[in-house]
Amino acid sequence: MSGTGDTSGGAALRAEGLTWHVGRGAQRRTVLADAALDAPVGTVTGLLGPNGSGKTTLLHLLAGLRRPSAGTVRIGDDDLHALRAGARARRVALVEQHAETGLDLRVRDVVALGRTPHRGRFAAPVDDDATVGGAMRFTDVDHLADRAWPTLSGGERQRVHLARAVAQEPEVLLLDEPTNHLDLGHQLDLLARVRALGVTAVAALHDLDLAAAHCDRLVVLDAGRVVAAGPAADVLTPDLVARVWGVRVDVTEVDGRVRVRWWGR
Amino acid sequence: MTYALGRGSVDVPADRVVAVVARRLGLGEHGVTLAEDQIVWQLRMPRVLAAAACGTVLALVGAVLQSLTRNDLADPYLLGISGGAAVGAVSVIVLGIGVGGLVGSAALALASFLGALGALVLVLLLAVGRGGTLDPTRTVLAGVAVGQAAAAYTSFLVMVHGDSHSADRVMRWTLGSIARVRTDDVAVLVGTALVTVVVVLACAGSLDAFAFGETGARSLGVDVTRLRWLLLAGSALVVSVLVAHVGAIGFVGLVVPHVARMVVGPGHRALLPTTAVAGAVLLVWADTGARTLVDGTEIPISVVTGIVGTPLFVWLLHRSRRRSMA
Repeated sequence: MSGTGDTSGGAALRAEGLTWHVGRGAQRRTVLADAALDAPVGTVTGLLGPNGSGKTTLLHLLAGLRRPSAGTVRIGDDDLHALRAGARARRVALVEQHAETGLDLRVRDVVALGRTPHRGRFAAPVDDDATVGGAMRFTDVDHLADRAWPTLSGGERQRVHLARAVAQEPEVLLLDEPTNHLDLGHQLDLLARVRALGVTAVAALHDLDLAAAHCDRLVVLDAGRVVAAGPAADVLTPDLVARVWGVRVDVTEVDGRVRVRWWGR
Repeated sequence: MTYALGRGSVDVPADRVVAVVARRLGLGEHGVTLAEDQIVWQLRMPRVLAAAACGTVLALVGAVLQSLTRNDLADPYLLGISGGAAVGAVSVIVLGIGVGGLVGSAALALASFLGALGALVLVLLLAVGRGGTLDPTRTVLAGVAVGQAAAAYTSFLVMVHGDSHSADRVMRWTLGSIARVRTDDVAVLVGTALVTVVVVLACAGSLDAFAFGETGARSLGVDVTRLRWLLLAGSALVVSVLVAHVGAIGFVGLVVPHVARMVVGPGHRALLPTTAVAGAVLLVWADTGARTLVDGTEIPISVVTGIVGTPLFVWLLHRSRRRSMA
């Protein structure tokens, strides 16, 4: 049923008509309106949009953390919101944007949290340690296993969070701005690891050029609505970038790769 | 525990204590005298068991509330339970109201349990949000509000209607004591402790998942709403049972989880059992101290837990600071 971490295994993720309101009466605001997203098995989808365009809300709905005001999310053939919390977490993992703790946890403990949905009430499956170890090796944090969380750098924390998500052995991996606070080398490194994992992935990103290089498909959100979706070459036009971000860009295609260069507002 | 059973107004040597317990458990006769049996098994054993049960529950509830609210200051009385129980108890003590035909200590226990339940219902009604969710911060605020209202009522009652004798009884009740626990109540307390231990240990993994906050726990498959209802309402319920029998015993629920965390770390699978045992041991010792430190008088147990616990806590704080600087 679930993928095994470092080999390919995944399920298609398909969302339709996703809508999310906050507040009541005159205070009511629509954060997400009729959003659709189609992520085929094993692909990486980039979720783009300005601050406050609804990327995090969409990811949380795709993760099944909240029930949408309207719309459906299907993982494979199943309705995600009909699954029990534990079953859902065995199939979808989320790497949050700012996930911090005041607790003095070791890296190994944090990664082992990913096994939570696979554990019974009292006993842990016997292969847990091997899975946790494999996940730490996959994101290159195994040498940090006994380090305490507060002593880690931003890039190390991000890789530990990814290892935690890998240990969860999901079919779908959702990432909320995973490259924030990372230097360029670590940004490329992290996205390469997500790609190598082979599961269906949806990542909210800010860097258009980075997204174009690493994603099979892009979805652009603006003010809670999906304004474009498809391969980078179709989506990232100077016109669209000017309309959504208010930035002048050049888009070129070099050796089959879409490059985005900005000039100014 | 052997020491606690032996010490008292009449001291029984440790080997005789072991003999008494062994005989009662059907492990031979050992020439136990009637007096030894009465003192150790009939007088002190219920009290030691009650103390262990109360210590376990208070410490575990403290640990659970601290994890659930992510607040280091959370303790079992934060939910307004002790205040509600005090309303019931003080009404009986000061106004001499009988409950359901009962008088004296039985009326006191029932009244404080009803008071605690009343406070629990009130706190949950105030705290429950849209869609039946139970937010920890709202719950704690509601608990503080209900606790304040209860304190105002009890102070008013004691000031207006109380004489010096009832004021003294109220103060003793408020500080908690295991002295008035009857043998029948011990089974209730031990049962409460066992249920608490099983439920809380079953939630250890889910509590770990809260390390990175509520969203993190949800994404790891924890049914956050259900878990909060179970643990917050469950905590309030078991504390109600305790308060009805032994009053409000301070310090254990606040400090024991911190001490355990400093020793075994924040993982709940190790933390919760350690907390349970440490709470039981601390309260058995504290109760032994309460009845033996001053000849002929019972010191309120909260005074003992405070005297024993504070230096211990300060020492551990100091140690952890040194370690974090190293």
